[in-house]
Amino acid sequence: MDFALTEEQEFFRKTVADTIDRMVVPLAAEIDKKDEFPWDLWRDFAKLGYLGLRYPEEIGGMNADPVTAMLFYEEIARGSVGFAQSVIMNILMGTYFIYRFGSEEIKKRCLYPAMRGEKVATMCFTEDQSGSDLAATRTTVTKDGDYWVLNGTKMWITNGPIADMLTILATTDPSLGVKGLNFFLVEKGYPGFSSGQVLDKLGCRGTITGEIVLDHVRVPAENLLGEELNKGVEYLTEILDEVRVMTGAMALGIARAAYAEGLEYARKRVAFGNPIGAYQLIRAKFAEMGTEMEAARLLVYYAAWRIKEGLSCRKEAGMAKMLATETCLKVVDEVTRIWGANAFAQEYNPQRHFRDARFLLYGGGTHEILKDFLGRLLIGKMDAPRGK
Amino acid sequence: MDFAFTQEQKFFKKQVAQALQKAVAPYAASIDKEDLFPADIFRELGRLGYYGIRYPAELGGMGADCVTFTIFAEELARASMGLAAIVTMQCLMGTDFIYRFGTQAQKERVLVPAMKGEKIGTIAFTEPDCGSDLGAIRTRAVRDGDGYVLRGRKLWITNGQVADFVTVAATVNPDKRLNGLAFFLVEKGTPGFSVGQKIEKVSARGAQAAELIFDDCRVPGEALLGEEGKGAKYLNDILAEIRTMIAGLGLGMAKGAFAAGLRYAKEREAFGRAIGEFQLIQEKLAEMEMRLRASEFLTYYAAWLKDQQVPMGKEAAMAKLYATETACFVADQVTRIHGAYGLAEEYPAQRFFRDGRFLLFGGGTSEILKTVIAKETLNRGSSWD
Repeated sequence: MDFALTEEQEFFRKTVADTIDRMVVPLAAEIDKKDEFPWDLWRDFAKLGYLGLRYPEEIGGMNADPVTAMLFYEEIARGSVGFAQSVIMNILMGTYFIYRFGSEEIKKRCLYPAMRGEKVATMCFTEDQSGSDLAATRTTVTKDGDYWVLNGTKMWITNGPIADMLTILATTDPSLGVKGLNFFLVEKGYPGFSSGQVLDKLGCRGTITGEIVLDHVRVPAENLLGEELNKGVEYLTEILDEVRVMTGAMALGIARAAYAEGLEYARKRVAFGNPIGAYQLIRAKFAEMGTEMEAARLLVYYAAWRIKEGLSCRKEAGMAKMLATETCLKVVDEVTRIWGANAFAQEYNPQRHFRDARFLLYGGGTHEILKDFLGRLLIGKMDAPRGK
Repeated sequence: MDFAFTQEQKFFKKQVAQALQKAVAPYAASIDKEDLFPADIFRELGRLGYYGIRYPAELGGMGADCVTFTIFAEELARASMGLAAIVTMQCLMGTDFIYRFGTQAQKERVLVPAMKGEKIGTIAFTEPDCGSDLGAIRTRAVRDGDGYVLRGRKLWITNGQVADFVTVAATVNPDKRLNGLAFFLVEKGTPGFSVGQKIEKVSARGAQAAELIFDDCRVPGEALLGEEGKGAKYLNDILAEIRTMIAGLGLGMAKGAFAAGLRYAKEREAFGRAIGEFQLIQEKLAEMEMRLRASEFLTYYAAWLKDQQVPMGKEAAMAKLYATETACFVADQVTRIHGAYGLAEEYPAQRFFRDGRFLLFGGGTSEILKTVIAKETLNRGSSWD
């Protein structure tokens, strides 16, 4: 057993933390307030090479192992969730299928520029009537000679309205459920592709989230991202654990940012003649936050370590996402209580953390879905009783 | 035992619910979005006579009991938290000291118009370094001839931006802490009194929170409401009622949020059926409704004790603590039921989620209330001893 980070990981964490403190933290409140994509920050940040975090050095990446990647996700979310979400979309979900299945031509056109921040990438799962339930995907794809034709509308697409390249989840046959799913690359400018309404949302502002419309979008055969047809769900499974653990790492980042605000306030705010940190009810909050954050952190790193070692991680990833996110929600809640009424003043950060944390509940599986999934793993597969 | 409302209370509830669902609820989202004082709605409710709900008929009020006032608070918050914060300020804290201690002339000048919605009242406790700890109030009131000179800065003052008159908590002697407190009536236009910055906030938007500045603000002797040094006692006389009212707000908001969650659980489908058919969603509905019921009982029990003129400080603290925590819990669960749409500004779930937080601080934070309840029990035992 060894709970310590390696020297490289420790060095990496420190470097990233310094960068985030210098570049991102000072802009976080403004990014939230404006709810506009921070192009200047994006361009400056991309120069540091982090957008190629997970990919091999041969193609210009950093070749970071999963634990190191988690350290990055945690630190950037600590700085600004709105910015982190856009960055991580380029690093992980928005480029993975192109890296894995794209032709050299496609990689040159899309992946390498995305790793340099010259292109914005995204991944499109959600539809109006399908979220966690991917089998309900209604975006269809049909074969037309050498081409594929996509039709449908996607919702809640991170970076959607500004994306240059989109990995689209579509079904060859809705009656096949998850067994009809496939991923296709669509690029900005393809005829029939357009972005619809932009969502005005409570948290994670600064990431532009919106609707994507595919109206008879014809894509060439090589844009099918996958070796075989209708294997989309299997390919998704390859990164699902990593996505879940990543969400857990982001939760740790937000929790740390909020916790630091709470600590500072508890030390300086005076009531009844003492700093409020002198009172047991306030101390108890720190005891609980500290304990739960430590547990969540260990679970997140453990799950990342299992991915790194190539061990099965299905259960641990779900647990890590759920525990870290729930812990984060508790921490941001407690910190707003420590701050009293100042917690809902927009000039301070606690209300932003309080709103931002909610964003983590849904991506990678809601906690209702995860509980059902984990319960099934633990109990064993049984037929689910139908309601009514 | 009888858990039913009286005929009058039932009638009032029905009538006020109808009025507020028609005049207020459709505008809740825009009140929240704009964060401006909803002057038209405020005037309309004034015309219906609601601002005099607690005051006697002789003055033009409704002479309602505490249970009825709590019903009113509940229905307000079910419609719009921003408006509820404005209106309850007008009905209770913003006018009560003038009702109890004002001269006839003051009552005619500010109280009676306030009851009709022609003037807006507020109360000013909070300062930059003092919230629940009222003994730390630093706004000074110094005797000067027949009158007083006020000097200090107040923060988080509901309706502060638009108020025509303010009941200001100040100290005549900071060393005496709570025993130095006094309340003063300050009217708009008094030299030295000005409104500072508006506070941008995430909850109860529409009820603007402002900074008030008293810079050598001279008021006449009759502006002192009651006696010097008795401010804490006067506040204590209505503190339990304030807490019960806030419990009513929590209850109303939770009911509004619950209704939105229930609707979504019936409409939204996943895996081929309405999500309400899944056990994990049913668990949320059951848990929410159970806590809602418990809040309802605690809240109306405290209000009923008040109407029986029985001491109910502890019960009011419990009602406020439980009902506001339940409101936050329900809002949390409802955003989960809504999935990602719990974040979308076009649905009300996120508004309930933000608004619930407003209830946690005024009238004593949850942390303070826990110590109040525990100390009361340590000193006097509990009701089942």
